[in-house]
Amino acid sequence: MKRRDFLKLSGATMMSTSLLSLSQAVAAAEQGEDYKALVCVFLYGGMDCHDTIIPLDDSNYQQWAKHRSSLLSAYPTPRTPQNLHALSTPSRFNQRKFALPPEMAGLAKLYGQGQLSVIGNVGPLLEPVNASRLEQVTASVPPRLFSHNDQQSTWMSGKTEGAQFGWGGLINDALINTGKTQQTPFNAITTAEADLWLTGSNTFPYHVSDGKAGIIEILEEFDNNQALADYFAGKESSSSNNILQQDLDTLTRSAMAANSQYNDAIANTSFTLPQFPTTPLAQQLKNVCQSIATRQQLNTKRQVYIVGMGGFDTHSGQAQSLPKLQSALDGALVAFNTAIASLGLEKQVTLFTASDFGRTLAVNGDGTDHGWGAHHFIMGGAVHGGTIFGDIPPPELNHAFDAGSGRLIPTTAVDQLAASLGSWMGVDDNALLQIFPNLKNFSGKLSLFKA
Amino acid sequence: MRTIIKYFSVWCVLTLTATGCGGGSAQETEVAPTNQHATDNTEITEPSQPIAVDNVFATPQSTASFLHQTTFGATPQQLNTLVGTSASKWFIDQIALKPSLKMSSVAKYTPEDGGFNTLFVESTSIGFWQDAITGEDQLRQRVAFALSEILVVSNAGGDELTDIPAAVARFQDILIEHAFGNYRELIEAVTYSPAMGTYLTYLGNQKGDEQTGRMPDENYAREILQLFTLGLVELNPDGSEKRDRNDQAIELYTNKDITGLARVFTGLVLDESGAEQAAQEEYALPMVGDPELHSTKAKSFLGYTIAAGTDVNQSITLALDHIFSHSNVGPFVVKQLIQRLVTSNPSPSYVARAVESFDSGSYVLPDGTKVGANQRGDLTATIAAIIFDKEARSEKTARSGKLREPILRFTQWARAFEVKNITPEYQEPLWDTRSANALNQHPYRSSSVFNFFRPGYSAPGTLISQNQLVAPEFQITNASSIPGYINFMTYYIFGYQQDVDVADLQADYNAENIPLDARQAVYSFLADYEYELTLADDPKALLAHLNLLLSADQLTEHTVNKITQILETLPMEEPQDSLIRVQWAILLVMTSADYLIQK
Repeated sequence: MKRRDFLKLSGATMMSTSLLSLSQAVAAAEQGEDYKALVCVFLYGGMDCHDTIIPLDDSNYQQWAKHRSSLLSAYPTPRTPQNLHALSTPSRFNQRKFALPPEMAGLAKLYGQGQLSVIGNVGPLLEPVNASRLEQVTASVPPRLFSHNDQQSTWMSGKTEGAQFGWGGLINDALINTGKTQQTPFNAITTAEADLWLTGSNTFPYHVSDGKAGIIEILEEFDNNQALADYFAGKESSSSNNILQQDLDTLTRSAMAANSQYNDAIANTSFTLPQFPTTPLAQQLKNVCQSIATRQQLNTKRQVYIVGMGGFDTHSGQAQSLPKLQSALDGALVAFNTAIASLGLEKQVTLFTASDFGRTLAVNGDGTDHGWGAHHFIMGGAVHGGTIFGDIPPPELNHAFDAGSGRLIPTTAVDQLAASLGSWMGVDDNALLQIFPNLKNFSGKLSLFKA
Repeated sequence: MRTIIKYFSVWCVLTLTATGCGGGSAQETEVAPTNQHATDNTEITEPSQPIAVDNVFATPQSTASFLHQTTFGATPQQLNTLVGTSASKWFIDQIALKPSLKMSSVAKYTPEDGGFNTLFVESTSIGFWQDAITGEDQLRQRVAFALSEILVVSNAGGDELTDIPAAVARFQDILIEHAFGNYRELIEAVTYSPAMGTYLTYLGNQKGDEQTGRMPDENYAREILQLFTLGLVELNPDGSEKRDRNDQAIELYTNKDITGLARVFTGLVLDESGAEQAAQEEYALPMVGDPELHSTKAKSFLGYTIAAGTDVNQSITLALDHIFSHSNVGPFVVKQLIQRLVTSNPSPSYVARAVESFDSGSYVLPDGTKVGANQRGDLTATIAAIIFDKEARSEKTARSGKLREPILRFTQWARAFEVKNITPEYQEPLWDTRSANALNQHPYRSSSVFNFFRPGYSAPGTLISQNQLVAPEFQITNASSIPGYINFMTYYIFGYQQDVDVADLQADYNAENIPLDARQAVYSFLADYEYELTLADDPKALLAHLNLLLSADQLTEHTVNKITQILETLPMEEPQDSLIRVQWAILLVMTSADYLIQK
């Protein structure tokens, strides 16, 4: 059979089962199906917090605009107060108001509808720190601050590059341990290469791209290909004492087995998702939705997902590049939110953003440099929407949480955010303290979720 | 933009389809081994003593093993001529060869009318594949590629580095020209290159301004230390991390060092002194200093201060001298070069031996010839020390080796089978091989300055990590890329590239203003497997040949038997059946774990 014909045929088969499975999926959700998924959107390079949650009240806007003056003339859509999207701000901020940039109209709307919130100034911490303790070196701080790879790793695992376990994986481990879910190859899925966050002792990252698991195309040419399939699946490989080869064999075997299981599950489920933008991030989130829609065939009740988007290391040309990235992020998150609602799972899926670090308030000419704390989004029907958690330091230099040039010292620890997410997934407090041993140094979890 | 050919949409129907595979009766063909190599191999024992005489090319196996580390793949012609000769001499000959450079590729594909097309944009890729596969200066090209994974620039961004191919082409040439030079000089050439200036955003970087609060861009200051010279923590000469009294790694610098050093990399701009020259040319020239933009303040970093008022060129010289004087440079750079060429987990003593050559600038080849210019940072001495080391040549353990990089697997195929008409300009799949359904890697096109994979990557939850080992290449190996690689190799090994629709392709060329004759495309990357076809009737001999040529006899008897069993189920009735058997044999070898881990 020709390859092209093969694809047509299998596509046709898929179509015929579509409506049935979709209605099943929705019905299950309505009956209070025990399912939850956590989706991490990792923004590689360090998203500029100061250019995402922008002060809107007059005096703080002016102060911000003064620091950012050399960038401000260069944005395609000027970041004037009237072009920003105001956020309803909790009363504890008094006269301070905040807004999203012009490119984030969709997220501002979701915020207004109570489906999205902001987590202010979150970042890796071992214990509470302020500028004077940092200056006097009396506080413990995470090692290798401001270094991309190490802070990506620290966000995902609490440790610098080379870490073995990420908290997404450890949360899933804890859920397996208490029987809230079972171990399957599909508990932890990545569409990027960020394996670390997903890895636990019993939780291993599974990679999908383009909405399907990888297939070996030449095998599709044959009717009877078992010997070849076994060969490519590593079932026939020789035993080796070489450690790298043993791992390659294990990886190949598990990947090929999971791929065929995953593709069977996708073929046996059908669903219609709303339109997603064509950006890589939106397409990754579409893959996540497809996977979530297939959850019953994949036999999993809890899932952690990570998707990724690069380009946020805006040392240069920030006024040109960041708005495009923000627009892509906005479009992708809005589409995801709509798609999850169409599956009837809005209360069972929570998405949050993460990034290497925030950036300097000071400008380097046409961009900004590496920071530490940053502001992030959390989205979903289970979330207390339309609010700002934590603090947002003022748009000034040399305040109590300025590590220099407006690099924010975090006022909320990643561990606090992570433990809150873990708790929502169903991990008990004792297990959370084991996963996040520094949690005891802070004021506890955040109240991100509705009761 | 890149829509000319969708590979794997090719209809190539293998003759196998009719009969299937795995169902036919095995052929019982007894043919006496005709392969000289295979016979030789049975007598090889790995020397356990350090190499005293130049026996590196003593056997076909030892020769292939060396060439797989030092070139883009061994060719049969190399194996025929080099076995029994002096590897020291080969090394010296390689160093003397005229470098194959990439700027000529850009010039060749620059549209005459000043226009723009994808062929022009991809001239850096075309030049890379061309020289990697056909360049005589294999060692130089191979070392330059290794350096490109440490000193990373990438044209993945769709910015100037994409639109002005001369920038990355010139950067490639810098690495090629300095591959046997001195690392200090290489770092300087890199620092002044518009490609790096653009990639790490210091081209046009301005001094700070207290009025506006503007600070110098810190990007290059951070990465030149972290990624190009020192790393983050103090190292011993054997590459291991130094520890303080509390058994903690010792960080080398704080953000104050970075902001101090960032002042050095202000005031570098394109050289626009040439009259009426195109951007193309400016991006191929070293950047020059602009005193107006350069910081006049004192520049303090790593316990050193450059006095206020020092100009840009002098500041850079002093800064690079100071950074380069740090004892970390040797172990930091050398260990990564060993990882790129030989093994992911060199022993500390192997690193220390090669670092000694980096520091002394000299190395004595197996035949007694001394190489290197006796200056610290000498790359000729360093490379020789790496590839002739006993741990590279003979002393193998369960921790030895590395996962072959996908790019190198592909070039190896093209070289091993002396593929004809290496015309990457006709191979659109080679213009961008980043997809997980291709190689998941494309030369000079990683997604960030952190390369395709990190030198310290240790896949979580593996034996590798349990044993405190690393395996960088595993970072691009996953459930998508494993079948993706098989698919990519299938396309080339089975010759799908010959099945292009010439009329369609010509229409696409015309539409994209690409001045190529599509009729040539059907001959491009033509593998006729002339020699292998003579072995097709004898799977054992065929496998013995492939085992040596592709994997320096790493395939175990078990794997050879498994592949042979599969091959023997293939029909051998029609004239084309021999070719198909050979193609299957190559695909099965090149996808086996025995092959993929280069030991």
